Amino acid sequence: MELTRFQQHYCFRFAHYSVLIHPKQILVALFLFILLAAACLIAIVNGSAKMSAFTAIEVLTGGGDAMSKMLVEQIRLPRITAALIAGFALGLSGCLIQTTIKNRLATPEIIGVNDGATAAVVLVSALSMSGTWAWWIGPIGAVCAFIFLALLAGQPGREGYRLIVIGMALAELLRSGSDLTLSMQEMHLVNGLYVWKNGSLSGQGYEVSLPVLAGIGICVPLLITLSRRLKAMQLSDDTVKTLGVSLGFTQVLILFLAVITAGLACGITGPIAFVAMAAPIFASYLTIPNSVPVWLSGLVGALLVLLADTIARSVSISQQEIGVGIITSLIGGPFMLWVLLRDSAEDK
Amino acid sequence: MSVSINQYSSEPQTTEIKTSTKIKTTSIKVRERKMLTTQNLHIRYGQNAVVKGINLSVGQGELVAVVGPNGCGKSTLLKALAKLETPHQGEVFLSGNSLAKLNRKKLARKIALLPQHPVAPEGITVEELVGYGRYPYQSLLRQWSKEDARIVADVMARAQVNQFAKRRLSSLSGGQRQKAWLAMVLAQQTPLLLLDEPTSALDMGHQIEVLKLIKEQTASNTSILIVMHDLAAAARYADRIIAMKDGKIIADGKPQQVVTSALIRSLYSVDANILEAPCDGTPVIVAKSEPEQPSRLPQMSPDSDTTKPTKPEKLVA
Repeated sequence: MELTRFQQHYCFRFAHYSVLIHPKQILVALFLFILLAAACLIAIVNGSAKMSAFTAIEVLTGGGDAMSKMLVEQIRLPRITAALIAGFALGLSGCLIQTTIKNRLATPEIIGVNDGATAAVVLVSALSMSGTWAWWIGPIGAVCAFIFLALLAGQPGREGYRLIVIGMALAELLRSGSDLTLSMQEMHLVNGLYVWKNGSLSGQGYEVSLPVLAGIGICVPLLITLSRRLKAMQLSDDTVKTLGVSLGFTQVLILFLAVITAGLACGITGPIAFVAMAAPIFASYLTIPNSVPVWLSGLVGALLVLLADTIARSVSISQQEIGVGIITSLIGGPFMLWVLLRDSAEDK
Repeated sequence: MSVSINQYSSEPQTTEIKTSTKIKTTSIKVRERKMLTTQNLHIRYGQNAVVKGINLSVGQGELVAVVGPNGCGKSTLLKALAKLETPHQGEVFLSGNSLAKLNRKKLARKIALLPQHPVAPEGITVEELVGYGRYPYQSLLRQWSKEDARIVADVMARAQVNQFAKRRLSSLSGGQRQKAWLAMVLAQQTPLLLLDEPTSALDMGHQIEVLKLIKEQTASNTSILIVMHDLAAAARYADRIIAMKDGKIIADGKPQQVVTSALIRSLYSVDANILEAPCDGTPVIVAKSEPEQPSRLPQMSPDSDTTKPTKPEKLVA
């Protein structure tokens, strides 16, 4: 066993194994976990019925009165879990797509992946007439939309802009498709679907989190083995290939994982905009240069969705709750503008 | 740095060719002895033929320069040799093995390529960049071995970038940056190096430094194919010059034999005198001053093929 330094990294060597660890990345992850814990507490306390932080901790440690216990365990905790898992999935997916396409704007909501999932869920739910909600078709719709986009675009183009512009047009088309489907249904049948379509975590139990959790569970080991390639993919394509990466295969595999994950999250919570774009950008500010913050993006995504949902629950103006997707869109619009302006300033 | 004389020993020995019926087997033998050979290589972009029937070879420890006007297919050829372009027809052989049958992982330990405009991740340091050259030797549980550390330190010292090891690549000058990139390619420790215009954007001092560093690698029997524009520098540092025009090889041989005023006229439509450098007799090319040009514009327009591609390069430089 041997410990040396390489740049800012610690290098652990044992026999012919060697692993690099950067202390800052671990500290940032710890910091995010603490923030997440605090955000969870805020989310438990706040809502249409307020409770004190003391009561919340009392319930969490096994005490508390029956009413608070019911509120925390049956309503708020499942919803918080759904928010955390969907947010993690979105952050992860955004980071993977941005890294592969090499453009900050290449995220599931911009290139039509979320809208593919939404359109599929709306169409199947509306056609089945049973009033059930076909979340499982989400990832299939997302993959179909992305395959269609890949066929239309042919190649990502310079800095991925070809793919992004065609993806935006495709997203618009799919969105109008789901709007049309919804408008042709009777109002009382599609009320729930309408709320879902704006991105909502309202009334979700633990069971909705399971499929997304399973999707993330499949991604984790695959992404750990792909992590070296993800890092190398920051170099230009020709260099990556001459370093021994089968780039085409790797890109398809990573995009497939990212699109499935985004589709699953979208199927469960409805389209939550801008988290997939913002989380990797925040994560890259927090981490070291020359790294791809896949896991940190997931943690930041979880934090963003949880905070947005807490705001959505707390500031209901009318009788009906505001969807979490509407809150993220409100914050996300100016954020996207900032990303675009910052990028064009960097180009100069 | 002196270059050993036996570097030419890899040329085919005529004594082995006894009968004409054995020509095919001998050519395979030659192929095996050479580091790199191509056989009737054609490359197309869509309907547009860019490389048209290239036959070339690079011996072990040989430094070969490829010259030619912009758009003649040099860079495309180089990409095909690194398996970044698929030939439309013909084949590339690496020590006698078809390139098409070697997978990328194995190839990364055999061929290293420095592209014309390489892109580095934001905020990367010189040492981290050079470390990328060790990628083909690393894995998930072998991220930074002692050997990696030793080789990276060694190539950084050879390329004289060790004093910038902890500096950000973006903070260096063009010449220093190019040396860092070269160190990264050297860290790959391949028997064949492909370099696409590594000196085109450099000042004279850095150009000579970089070319010397490249030349030094042939001492350890590394074969090098380098695409460049400066014919005089190519003549001085290369063992052999291959001149390309319009996707074909129009000259291939020792610098003194290849660099003639006829070649310059054919390549660039420029009339030039070839002088001998006072120190070592390598060819020096001096463009003749053009006589009065009363009809300059009408002269330029028919040659639009050769004048157009030069324009973007001037902008880049």
